[in-house]
Amino acid sequence: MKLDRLEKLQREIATIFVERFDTRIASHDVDLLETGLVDSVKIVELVLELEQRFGVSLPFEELEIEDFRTVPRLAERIARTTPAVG
Amino acid sequence: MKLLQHYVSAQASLRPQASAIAWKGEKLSYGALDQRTNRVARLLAGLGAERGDRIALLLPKSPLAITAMVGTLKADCAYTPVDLKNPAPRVEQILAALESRVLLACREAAPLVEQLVRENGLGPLRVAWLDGEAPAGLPSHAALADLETCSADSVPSANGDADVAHILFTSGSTGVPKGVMITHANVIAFVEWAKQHFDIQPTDRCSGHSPLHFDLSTFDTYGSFAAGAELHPVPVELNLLPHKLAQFMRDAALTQWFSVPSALNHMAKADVIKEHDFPSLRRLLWCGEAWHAAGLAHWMRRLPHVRFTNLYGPTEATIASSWYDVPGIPEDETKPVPIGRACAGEDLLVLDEALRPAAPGETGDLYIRGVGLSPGYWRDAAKTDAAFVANPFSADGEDRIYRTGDLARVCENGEIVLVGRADTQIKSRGYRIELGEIEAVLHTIGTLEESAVVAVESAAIDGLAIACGYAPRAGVVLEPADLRTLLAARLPAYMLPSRWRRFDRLPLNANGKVDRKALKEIFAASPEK
Repeated sequence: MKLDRLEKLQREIATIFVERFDTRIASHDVDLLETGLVDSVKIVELVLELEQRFGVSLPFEELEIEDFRTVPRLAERIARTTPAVG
Repeated sequence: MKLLQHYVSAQASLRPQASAIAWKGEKLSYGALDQRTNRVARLLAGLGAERGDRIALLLPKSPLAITAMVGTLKADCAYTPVDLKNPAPRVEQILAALESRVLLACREAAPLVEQLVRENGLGPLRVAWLDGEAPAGLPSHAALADLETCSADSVPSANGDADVAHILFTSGSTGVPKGVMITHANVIAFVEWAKQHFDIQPTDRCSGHSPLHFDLSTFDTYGSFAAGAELHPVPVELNLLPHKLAQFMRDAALTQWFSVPSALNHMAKADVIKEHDFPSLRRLLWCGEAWHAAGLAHWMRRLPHVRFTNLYGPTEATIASSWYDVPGIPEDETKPVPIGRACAGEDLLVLDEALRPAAPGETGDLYIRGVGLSPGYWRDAAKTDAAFVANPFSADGEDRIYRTGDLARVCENGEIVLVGRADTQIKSRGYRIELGEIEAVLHTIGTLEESAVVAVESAAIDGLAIACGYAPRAGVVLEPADLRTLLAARLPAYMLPSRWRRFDRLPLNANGKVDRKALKEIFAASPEK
């Protein structure tokens, strides 16, 4: 159950990157920070988008830089925030 | 001071125990820095580096990278810090241009070195791994153990202050980055002016916010060493989260902050600066692009105890050539903040097309003259001659002025205000980008019929957003995300367009060329995502 949910989150995050930033993320291992796929401008848009799409609250001061390292890390961070529904 | 490394050795003999660099909870003293840099110089000589050689540094921002910089100078060589985030082909262009004999690297650079080896080999380039053993399977001619066996005694130098200390690469409009040669004298002139102007003291704690491959970092490093102050390199990833950046400033109790305005705006927008925050901070300097008066006013209201100074100047004129101490919180937030007056030993000239002084208040081309002027671009006489021209007001043939490409006007009080650009170079989040370099890479993509890049205003970022219009060849399916992937293999992330639009045909002007003005209007009229 839990794995399914994480996978779903990962897929949706990848979709956000394509739709919002015209960026395809080649694999789950891609380091979003080292490659500049997430930078200081995109992180603001990304957090807003994640909040809207997943109906969660992600206050900046509660976020850690490592939360943004990879797509799976980001999915885990959101999973921790949202109550698992369905 | 004659040479930049003397700043370190002078502090090492006066105050060897004083801290030179603070990094992630550890401190490196001037004495230790002096000894380690002596070792690096000997290691380089042992690897065959000779006076005047260019040494590429594949090292992320760290005390190790700064040690490699100063050690290279002690070997009478010039260094080029290379951004590890650059795609391998761009690094290859830089290495090829430098014709280096030696590369200094560390484990973090291993993936990049591996890619360089896989694609074209490293040729005669010798690699020294400064932080441990060589990563398995990669070329290695020296490692940390060899460095540690080198003598730490002082190293004699043959260089003079007109010799090149470093070569910094900036975006080039023809698709190849250009290397700006900066001499010891160039840097020392600015550092000595700044040390006096800002009264930098051994008790100061200075930020090292800019990446080491950027010209601004030169002041962070050598300005701090010149005063015997403590340099606090700012870990790059902190830029992502403004509250982390503010916390770093607080924890380090910085007394001097120097960065591009976008980092400051990022913190202002997130509202992470409290009233009277950073009580130790004495001065805040910015450079690299214009800072909107509204952002400046926000900071000034929060930090009434801090002195705010705008510095201006392109890499070609070394760090900065003019200064403006902001006298008070800007009343009219729509007015540009002046770039002010020339630093000691420099002149700012606003000239018309015939190189005559523009009338006060009239817009003209901004030229810089004086002690900061680079000898020119590395092995590119044509570009050097085009940008650095003889001073029309001097009989001395050696007296040159540098055409910045910025448009400016002189105010009645003699202060200078920037108006815009005379070409397609843009500033985006402090990065200096030639749109032509992006277009040159687009033109190598075979599946495109037409493409063009324009800069458009953006609400989300400081400076301008890069927008790309393209038309694929007939029958080719090429989504923006596909094109972005192709460009990302050749260009650093900050040069990648953030806005895209696919056309059947790009708009053309009466001459049959791509109509960039129309393209710009199309982007301006359509909403950002």
